[in-house]
Amino acid sequence: MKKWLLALLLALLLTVPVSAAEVPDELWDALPEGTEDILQNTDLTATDPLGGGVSQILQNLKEQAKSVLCQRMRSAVSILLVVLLCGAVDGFSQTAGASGPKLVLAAGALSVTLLAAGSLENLIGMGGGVIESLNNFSRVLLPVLAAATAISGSVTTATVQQVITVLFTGLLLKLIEGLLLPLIYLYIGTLTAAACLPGGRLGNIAEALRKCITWVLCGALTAFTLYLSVAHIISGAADAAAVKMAKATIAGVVPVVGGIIAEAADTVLAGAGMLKNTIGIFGTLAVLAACAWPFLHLGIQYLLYKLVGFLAGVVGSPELCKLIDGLGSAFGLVLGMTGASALLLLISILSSVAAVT
Amino acid sequence: MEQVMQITLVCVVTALLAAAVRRGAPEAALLLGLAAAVAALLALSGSLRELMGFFSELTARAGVSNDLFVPLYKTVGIALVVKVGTGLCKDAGAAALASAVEIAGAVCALLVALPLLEKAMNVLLELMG
Amino acid sequence: MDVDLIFRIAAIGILVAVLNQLLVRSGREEQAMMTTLAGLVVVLMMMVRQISDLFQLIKTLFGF
Repeated sequence: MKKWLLALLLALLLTVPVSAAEVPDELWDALPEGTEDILQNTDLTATDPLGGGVSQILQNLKEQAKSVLCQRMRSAVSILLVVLLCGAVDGFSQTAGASGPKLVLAAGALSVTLLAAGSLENLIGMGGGVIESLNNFSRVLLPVLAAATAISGSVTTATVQQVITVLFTGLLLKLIEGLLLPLIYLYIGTLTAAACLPGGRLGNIAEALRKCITWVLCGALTAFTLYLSVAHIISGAADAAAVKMAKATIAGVVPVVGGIIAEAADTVLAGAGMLKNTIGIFGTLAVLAACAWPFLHLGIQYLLYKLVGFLAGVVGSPELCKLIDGLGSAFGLVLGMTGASALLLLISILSSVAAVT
Repeated sequence: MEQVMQITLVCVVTALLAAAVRRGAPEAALLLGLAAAVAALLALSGSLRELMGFFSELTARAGVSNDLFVPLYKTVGIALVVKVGTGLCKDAGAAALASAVEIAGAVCALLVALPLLEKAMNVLLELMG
Repeated sequence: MDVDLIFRIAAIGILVAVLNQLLVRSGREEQAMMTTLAGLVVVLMMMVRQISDLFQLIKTLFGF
C-alpha cells in the first residue's frame, strides 16, 4: 500500500516539471508585435534555446538591414540637398549685396529640422511603443513565472526582492517617458534656434541640455546596477571571455550609455547562464526580439546623420553642420534610452527567474 | 563667359560716353548710366531664370516646401535693385537720396522676411510645447 | 542685347550737349535749359519700356 502511494506521489511530482515547460496561451497573446514569428521558429526545448533564438534574431536583422538603410537614406540625402541649396543661395545673395539678417541660415535650419522632425516622430514613437508593449508583456509574464515556479517550491524572501526590482523598473520607465523624451524635444528646439541666430550662447544651452539628459540616464542606470550588485539578486559566474567580448562590443556600439550598459552586461550574462526555465527563456527572447527592430532603425539613423553632418561641414556653413550633428546626437540619445529600458526589463525578468530557481 | 564679356564691354563703353557727355549735359550722362544698367540686367534674365529653376528643383527634390525659401529670393531681388539704385543716386551726387533708397531696401527686406521668421517661431513653439 | 538703344541715347545725349553749349555761348540760356529738359524727357520716354520690363522680370523671377 505504501509502495503504491509512494509511486503515485512520485508520478505526480514527475508530471509537474513537464507542465512547467509549456508556455501558456495568455503569454502568446501578450507578446509584443512582430516577435511571434521569431519565437514560433525557435525550438524552446532544444539544448541551447537562448543561443538559437539570438542567432535567429540576428539573422532577421541582417535581412532587413538593407531595406532600412535605403529607407533612412532618403531623408539623409534630402538634408544634404538643403545644405547645398543654402550654400548656393548664400553665395548668390552675398555677391548681390544683401546685408540683412542671416535669412539663409534661418531658412536652412528650419527646413532641416522640419525634415528631421518627421523621422524623429516616427522613431521616437517606435521606441516608445516598443517600451510600452514590453512593459505590458512583462506584466503578464512575471506573474506567470511566479505561478509556474511556485508549484516547484516557493521562495518568499526572493519574491520581495523581485517585487522591488519590478517597482524600480516601472519607475525608471516612467522617468524616461515623462522627463527625458520632452527634454529631447526641447534640445532639438534649442538646436534649431541656435542655428537660426548668430552668436554661440544658444549653442551652449543646447550642449548643456544634452549633457543633462545623458547624466540623468546614466545616473539612473548606475543606481539600478549598484542596487543589483548589492542585493545579490543575480550571482554566479559567467564565461569570462564572452563577458569581455560583449562588454567591448556594447561599449563601442551604443552611444551615450554604452559604458554603463557594458558594465551591466556582466550581470545580465551571469543571469543568463542560470536560465533553465522555459518561460524565462521565452520572455528573454521576446524582449530581445522586440527591441532589435527599433535598435536597427535608430542606429542606422544616428550613423547617417553623423555622416551627413560631416559632409555638410565640407560643403556648407558651420552652423548647419552643427545642427545636423546635434540632430544625430538626439537620435543617439533615443537609442540609448531604448537600450536602457530593454536592459531594465531583461534584468527584471532575470531577477524573477533567479528568485525562483 | 560670352555674356560676361558682352555686358562688361557695353558698360565700359557707356561709361566712356557718359564721361564725354558729362561736361555738356550731366543729366544725359546719368541717363546713359541708367540705360546701360537696365540693359545689362535685362540681358541677364536668361541666366537668372536658369539659376532660380535650379534652386526650385533642389527644394522640390529635397521635399521641403518652397515657402521657406521664397523670402530668401525676394531679399536677393530687393538687394539687387537697391544696389543699382544707390549707385545711380551717388553718381548723380545725391548721397542723401542714396541713403534713403538703402533704408527703404532694408525695411522692405525685413518685411518680406517676416513670414519666414513667423514660421520659425511656430516650429520652435511646437517643438517646445 | 539692345545695344542700339544705348547708342541712340548716347547720340541724343551728345546732341543735347552740343546744342546746350551752342545756346549757352550765344547767350540764350533759357533755351539751352529747355533743350536739355526736352532731351531728358525724350530719353526717359525711350527707356520707360525697358525699365518696366526689368521690374516685371524681377517680380516674376524672385517670386513677388
